[in-house]
Amino acid sequence: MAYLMIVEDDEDFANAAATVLSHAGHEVAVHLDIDGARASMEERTPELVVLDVMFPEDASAGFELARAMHRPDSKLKDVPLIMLTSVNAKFPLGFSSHDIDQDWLPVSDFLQKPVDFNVLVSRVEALLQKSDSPASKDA
Amino acid sequence: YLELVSPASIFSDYTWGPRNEHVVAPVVLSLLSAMSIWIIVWYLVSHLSALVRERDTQLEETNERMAAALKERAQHLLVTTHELKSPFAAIHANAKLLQEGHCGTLPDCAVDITRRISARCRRLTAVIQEMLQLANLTSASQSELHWQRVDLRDILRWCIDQVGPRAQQRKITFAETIESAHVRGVVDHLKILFTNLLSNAVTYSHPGGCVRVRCAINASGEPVTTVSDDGIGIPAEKLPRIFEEHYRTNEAVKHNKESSGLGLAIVRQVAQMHKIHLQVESADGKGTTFRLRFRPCGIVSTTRQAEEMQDGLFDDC
Repeated sequence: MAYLMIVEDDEDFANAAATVLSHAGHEVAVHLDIDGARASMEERTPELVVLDVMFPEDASAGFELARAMHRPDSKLKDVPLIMLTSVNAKFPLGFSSHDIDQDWLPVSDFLQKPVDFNVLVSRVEALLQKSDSPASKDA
Repeated sequence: YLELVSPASIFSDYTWGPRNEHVVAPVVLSLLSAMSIWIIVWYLVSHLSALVRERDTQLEETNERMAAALKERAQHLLVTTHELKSPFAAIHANAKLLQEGHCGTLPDCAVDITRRISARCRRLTAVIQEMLQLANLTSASQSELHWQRVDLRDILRWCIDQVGPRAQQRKITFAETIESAHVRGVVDHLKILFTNLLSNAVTYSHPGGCVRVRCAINASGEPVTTVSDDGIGIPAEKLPRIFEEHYRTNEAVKHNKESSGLGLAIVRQVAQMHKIHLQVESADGKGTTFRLRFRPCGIVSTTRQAEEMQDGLFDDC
């Protein structure tokens, strides 16, 4: 039972993902825009964030948020991040888990839409367990 | 009196040597240099013009290939989007089946989901429709289209009728000051252009608002139409991007989820093809005005107008 956040501009998709994750026993907050998500994260730190890449006006807003969260002085830098992406003609560079990098793409995992919800739930559980284990906690 | 001297004797008076005042060397040298310069110039010119002709042919070939590729791409898009519409119609139909109880009573949560599915299908069909329109506009060649003399007043009135039902739903009224104004254009394209602008004005107005539509001929004989609303407006820094395909401002998304972001890309395409001068004025929260200045069209009755027609500033309607 963890507090999760979904940051995604497509309300139908966000609603579906939130439903599935809450049925898996978690508390889920949904934010349809980056600014709202950022403000909410400052007030209450989520234990995991599911984050879309593309938002209106900014095709890489998701990346920007991920990098902002991982700045050395940020209290959010240990929050596991699952990034969601659709294959989009506007963004011909295909992103995959190979591109995960602490500086450039600081996310814990990547999922492509359309998302298999079983896969989403199991990835979320795996990441939550990893961050819960004493070995990975900061001293 | 005139003394006739034979040509040979002219030269016989000239001898080589620096001491003589009349020297033949400079004259002959100049002649030789002139001839060689001419030969070099002739060679260069003919060589260069051969190069230019070759380059010309190459460019023409490349141009043809590019035009063919563009057309093929646009036509491919047309076929693809056509093929996409049918599957979504099928999905929508099946969602409706569930919604309307043909498979028994569903729990409320399930009914909500089927509504989301149908709504999304409808939105998608509208998006596909707009993609089709845009592909149609970009792939059509000027000669294939049916250009004719049209009265903007008729077009505007037709479009206002089209948008009427939606305006009524949102309690938006129209204030019209429309004079007759003739232009040369493609009727269907102009209808799409104005329907998009009017539809946007209605969508992004606040309930109870008013959309003003004006059409008149300005002092230079150019038809000018404006569509203004007092709705959510567009922040200044985002104005340059509004004609980009799929671009939507955050304000627009918050106000209305259902839009493809293609409407203004289509407007821009039609404006380009009709050589319409398009201007937008807007401020965040203060509403938006679109101003369209058309090329003048009419009977050439003055010398100045005749000159302007020659300059391509006037359409012969």
